[in-house]
Amino acid sequence: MDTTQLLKGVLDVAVLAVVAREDGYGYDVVRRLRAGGLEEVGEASVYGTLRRLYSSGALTSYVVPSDEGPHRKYYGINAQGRTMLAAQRKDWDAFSHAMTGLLAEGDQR
Amino acid sequence: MTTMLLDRVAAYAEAVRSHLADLGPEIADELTDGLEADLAEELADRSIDGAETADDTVLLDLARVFGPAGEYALELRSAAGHAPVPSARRLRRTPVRDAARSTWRLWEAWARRLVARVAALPGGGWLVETVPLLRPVWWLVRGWVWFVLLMVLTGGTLGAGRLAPFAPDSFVAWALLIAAAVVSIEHGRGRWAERRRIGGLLVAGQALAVLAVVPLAAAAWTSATQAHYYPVYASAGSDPVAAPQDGVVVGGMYVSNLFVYDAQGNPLHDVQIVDDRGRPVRTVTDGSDSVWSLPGVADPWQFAPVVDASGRDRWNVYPLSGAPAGEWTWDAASGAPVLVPGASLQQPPAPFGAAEALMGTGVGGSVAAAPPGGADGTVPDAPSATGSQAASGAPATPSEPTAPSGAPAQSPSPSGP
Repeated sequence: MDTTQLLKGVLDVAVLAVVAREDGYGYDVVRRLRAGGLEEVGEASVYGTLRRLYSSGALTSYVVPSDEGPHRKYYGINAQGRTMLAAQRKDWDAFSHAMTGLLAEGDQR
Repeated sequence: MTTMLLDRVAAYAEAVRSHLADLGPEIADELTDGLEADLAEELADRSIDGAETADDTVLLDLARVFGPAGEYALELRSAAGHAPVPSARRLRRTPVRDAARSTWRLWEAWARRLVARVAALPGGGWLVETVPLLRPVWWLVRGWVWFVLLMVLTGGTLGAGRLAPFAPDSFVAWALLIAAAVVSIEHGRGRWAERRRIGGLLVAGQALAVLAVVPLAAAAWTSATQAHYYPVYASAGSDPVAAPQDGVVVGGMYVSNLFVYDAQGNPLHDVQIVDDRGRPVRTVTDGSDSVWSLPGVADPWQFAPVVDASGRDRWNVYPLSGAPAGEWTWDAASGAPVLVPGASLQQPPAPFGAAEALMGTGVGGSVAAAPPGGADGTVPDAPSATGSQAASGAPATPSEPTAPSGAPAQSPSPSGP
């Protein structure tokens, strides 16, 4: 199965969940998502998602200068982001439960 | 990470940025803020993996690591919720567009390098951080430039007061200025960035504003410093051109000559006309080289004065005689106008040979006791003219039929239009 298509629908909630645990910058979030099992995730998709979540008010952002090279842009979750995460987590639970049930049923026939 | 690699990363980020240019600088910057750090770190990660380090050229060509910058940008923008397909479909590639785009990219890269260099200077960091904060000021200035250009383009139909076109002085102009400012600010904030047609227009507007801002500001400055003089004209309440000029005005136009008729309607010649203060009433001003077109006469005419007994030129002796302008030339010595040899002064055509005779006058002939021309002293022909008027009871010479409007010609407020 092409997991990139599946990822599209759930990248928002995955990114929110990762940032909710700890503030992170773009590539840091990518690394944590990959470490968490989403190996196929594209960096640019994650960066774009972070920007969009920030624009919609779910994330805060701050710049941390670096001595060695270019500055890093960190993202953190805020109250609106937590509300969004809670709602989407609930949706995902319901959805995955339904999918699991459906797929299991199909197996039994 | 080596400086060379950082340069490569910066170049790749630049390429990605250029593919986002249609979103407007604000959004493009926002999307790629911190991208260099992310790219550099990922590159470092992959180096540790060792997969791509075997061949340095692979590492240097970052497109082979991250994919083509265009695709990277596409993924970035669509994940960020911006229109995934940029200009390609609607904007056909043309040599001119390609040239413009590559020139623009060169400029942009140059500007970024310049900013980086400035940032490295002492105090440069502060400058680089502060100048972008002034962006909204530029938005307002740009709105003003657009406003002025619109005012100029509409040719003053939106308000043409003494502040125009640099400042609004009518309701419509105010509305226009506010609208231009709002459009400029919204454009600056990245609104409409994804709407191709408006976007192109606004980019053109930006270029126009950059080019026009300095000349317009200079012109506005000049206008503002000179504006103090305007109210003087404005409060005079009259056309400054028409204000203090001598002459006889009838029906809104200067007349060249006066024709005088006696009570019986017969034309009179060599009649001196003065106003109520005894000043000569003149139709033709000094120099007398002005030419006048006469009704129904093809060639314009030029007139000559009459010399009085003391040798002075008299211009208030009517009707003035003269000759068509073609028969005049200039005296080589004095520069005064003289007739060409063979030509002579003539009476210009009169409006009519004889005027209506006057009937039954109500006033006695006592005015004859107050002979005119006292101020001038010499009245060669006046007695006969006055004498005939005395019979009709006309009060004095200046009240001849054509004279009244010209009588106060030398007073400060002429009876002009």
